[in-house]
Amino acid sequence: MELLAYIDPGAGSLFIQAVIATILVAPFFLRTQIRRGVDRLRGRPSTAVITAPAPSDDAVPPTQP
Amino acid sequence: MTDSPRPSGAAGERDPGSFRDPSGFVFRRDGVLYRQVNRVFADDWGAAVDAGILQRWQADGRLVSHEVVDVALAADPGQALAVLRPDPIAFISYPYEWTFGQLKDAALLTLDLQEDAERSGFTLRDASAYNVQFDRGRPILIDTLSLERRTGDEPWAAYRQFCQHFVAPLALMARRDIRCGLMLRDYVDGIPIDLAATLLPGRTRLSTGLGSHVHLHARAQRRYADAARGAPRRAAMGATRRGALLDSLRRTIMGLHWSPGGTEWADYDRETSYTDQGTRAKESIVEAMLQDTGGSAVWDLGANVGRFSAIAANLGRRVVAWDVDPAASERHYQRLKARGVTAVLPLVQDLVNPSPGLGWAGAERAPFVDRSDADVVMALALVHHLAISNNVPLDWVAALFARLAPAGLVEFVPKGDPMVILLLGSRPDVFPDYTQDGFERAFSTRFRIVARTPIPDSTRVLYRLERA
Repeated sequence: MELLAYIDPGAGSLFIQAVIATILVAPFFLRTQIRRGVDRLRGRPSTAVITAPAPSDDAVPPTQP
Repeated sequence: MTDSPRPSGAAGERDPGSFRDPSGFVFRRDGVLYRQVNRVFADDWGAAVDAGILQRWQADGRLVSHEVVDVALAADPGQALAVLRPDPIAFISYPYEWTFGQLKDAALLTLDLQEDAERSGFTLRDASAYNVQFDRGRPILIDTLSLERRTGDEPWAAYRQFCQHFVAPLALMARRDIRCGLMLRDYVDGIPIDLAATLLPGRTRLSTGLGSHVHLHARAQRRYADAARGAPRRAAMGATRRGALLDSLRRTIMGLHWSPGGTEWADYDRETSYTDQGTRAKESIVEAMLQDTGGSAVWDLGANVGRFSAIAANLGRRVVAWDVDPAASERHYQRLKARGVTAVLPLVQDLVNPSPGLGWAGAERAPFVDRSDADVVMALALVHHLAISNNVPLDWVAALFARLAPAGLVEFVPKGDPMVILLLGSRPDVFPDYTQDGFERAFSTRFRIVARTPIPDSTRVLYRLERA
């Protein structure tokens, strides 16, 4: 697996994407739930992007040394 | 295709742009393009095949189709797990030749695929703009080996590459200057984030998307650039946070707009010196000459918004429509997209300084002049711009056209034409050979003049040429 991760993801890039995602996860989760609700009311299949049950799977925030 | 390094004991000619990924590579044998899948990639390849994700993407046209062929065809049999024969892409273009809209559509395709991969338990291992090509009017992923299984809650390894290849250039094109797209020529792995942060207007710091994915990203890269300061501890990113990141990238890309206009050629199509009758006559002559010339592929040089490319397309030709002006090419792309035209590929190209060979040994990305598969080169209302605006000798223009295609449709615009008068209005006329006789003399060194037809209601002449 590690052998095939052939591009350098960049330490700073790995870190900042986790920070950005942490900041944005609450509004994203809210939007996703609203969209699902609207889709359900309209009888459409959900167009929400990620099928995660709750943001609890993101309980670990990024940390610095 | 140029000479390239070959692995020891290999057969087949390895593509000079396919060497970074240990999971496989592209090669040619007897002129046919193949992709070797290496044994080291067996588990991920098997999982992707079993999950049906490749087949799904191929069925909806988002991934190039392939046929699995005999592994004995491998270029490096010692490492080969499988050999694929991808469907050929009609013409290989590069991100620095794409219009703003094309680069944006390629970015959105990459995000679509990453979101879909996430839902299926996979991830894109890379997010290079060079993994995308335009095929029949649509962006399509050509790197069949981009997919690998997710093994945990890691961040997206290709995030930095996505930002360098798509976010940074699109932001610079939209928020600074459309010509910043050409910076992709200098930076083959995308525009460095810190450079983009420096060049973008200060107000972009206040934007959620660009503030995060460019400005904060650049600061984080600086913070951790020095290994002595230590890397951050590995951060887990669960599905919702990964979804939030992709959603943010999508919103950032969707929020970048550029409206063509204000460039030199943006309104050229409406400002030509032709009367309506002259335009119709020219269209009829071009159509007749294209019919007489035959062939299946046309390169339309100086295509502007594609009035004459459309004639070639209507005759069943596949057209690559080049223009120096990003506004004209963008308009052309958006028109084609709106009308569902798939036979024409508009691209940006400065003929006076065309795309060179780039990347390792100057061979990863082929130069403009080596990529022509055209049967006909069409240069309408172009030669005077090359000869007078750029001082290119007419016989040099003929030499380039002869290198690009065995036949040509070329328009000569004499000095009495309003456009040439305009070009000479601000400079001395140092072009004594720029006459119809001089044009015919110059082009006769490379071509046989098959037909010359004056265009009614103008002083211009259309030539049909065959390479001598």
